Amino acid sequence: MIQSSDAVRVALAPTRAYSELVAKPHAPSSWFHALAGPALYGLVLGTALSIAATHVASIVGVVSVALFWSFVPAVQLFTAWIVCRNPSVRIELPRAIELFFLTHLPWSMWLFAAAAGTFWLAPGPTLVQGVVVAALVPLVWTPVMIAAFCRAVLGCSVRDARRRTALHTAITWGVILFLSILADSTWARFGGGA
Amino acid sequence: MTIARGSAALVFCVGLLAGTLLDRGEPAGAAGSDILAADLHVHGGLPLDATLPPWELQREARRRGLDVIAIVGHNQTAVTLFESILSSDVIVLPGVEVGNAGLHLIAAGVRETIDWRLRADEAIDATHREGGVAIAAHPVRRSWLTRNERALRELDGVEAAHPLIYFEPDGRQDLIEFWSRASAAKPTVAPIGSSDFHGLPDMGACRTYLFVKERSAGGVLEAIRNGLTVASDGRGVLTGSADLVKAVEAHLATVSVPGRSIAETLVSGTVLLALVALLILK
Repeated sequence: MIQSSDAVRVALAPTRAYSELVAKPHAPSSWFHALAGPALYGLVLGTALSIAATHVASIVGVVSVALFWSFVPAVQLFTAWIVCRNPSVRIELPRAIELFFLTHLPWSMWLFAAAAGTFWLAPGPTLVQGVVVAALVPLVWTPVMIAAFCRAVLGCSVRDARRRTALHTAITWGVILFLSILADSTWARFGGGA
Repeated sequence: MTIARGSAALVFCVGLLAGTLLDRGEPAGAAGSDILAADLHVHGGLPLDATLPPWELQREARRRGLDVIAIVGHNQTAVTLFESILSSDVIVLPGVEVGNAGLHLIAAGVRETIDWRLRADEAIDATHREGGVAIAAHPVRRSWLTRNERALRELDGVEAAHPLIYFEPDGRQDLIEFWSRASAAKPTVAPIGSSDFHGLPDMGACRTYLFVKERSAGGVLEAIRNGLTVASDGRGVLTGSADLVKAVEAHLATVSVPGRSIAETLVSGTVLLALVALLILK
């Protein structure tokens, strides 16, 4: 019988799913398991962005784009480490990071939807607006999932869970905003000679 | 790993392999042809400005039948960091999109960034000193606010075809008006078609046909300086002098602009679905 993955269960009912996952006996976690999450996220980025931009799925293309965008899973790994530090209950760091990366499903689905959209919609305002509106789902739901992770996996109080979630959100979006401004040289749009 | 997940992983790997085997593309210009297809406004160098790394931009250019691309960054030339690993079959002009509140200017064929604080005519002069050509980028009303007449006379090219003509109600009209002003100020200004590729729309959706004496970066820059170009909006509208437009029409009767193949689209869709299955199945 086909069953949904842990990532789907966490996305649908974060607190319950995380509580069950923590309570379930599991083999000792290793860094191999912990790094599988970021690696999979990198593969998702490489595949979705490569196909969205070229409509071609090739090994070189997927690997190249995954490497080009590898700073994203790297930042996520860093924020995962920040979030998982000093848990209120005893849990191995690799296991905590492994469980943390289950929260990437909404953004992964958004990337797939955006890539699929480029097949069906002509590039233009409709596609861009659709992609932006669709981003609201992971934008809102990911912090909810991370807060649930902090409560159920790390044993944090509500207040501490909110603090860790806010820290994660601030670091992630701070880095993305900084790099976007750098890549776009946004400051120049407000000055210069004509 | 369960059978469902294993199957999804297998389909993903087989799909990628099939996509790799299907991946093809040759630059458009036949050997000896003096007409080259170019996209002179392709973003690359830094993620978040570009979706694809520079070497993948070159491969995509090949798939889209382009002989020349100018890879530019917003007020930066990060692409020069990658020059040594780029292949030579597609000519790559490094460059910069000089942008500030009043103008957007492509400086193609330069390795140093052009100071964005300069006036339009000063930025064009600086581009020329660096050995590059200066092209007004998507000069719709909000992108080109300057009334600097000297800049109009010094421009080497003007984007007369840009995807904005499809996205903005006044886009086409604005570009035509600017093109008319620029060509009145300088009759040899080159009409340029560019996609402004960040990842979307397709690279080469709007493109430039260049009449070159030699197939090299120098030959490309010379063609632009001499106004020996025709801009294509990708939907059959060509802009340029009548004799060059006629020559391009004859050229296009013998070569085709590559589109998306159904097989590639099916394989890509399958790969995406397999990866989704890999994520959602236990």
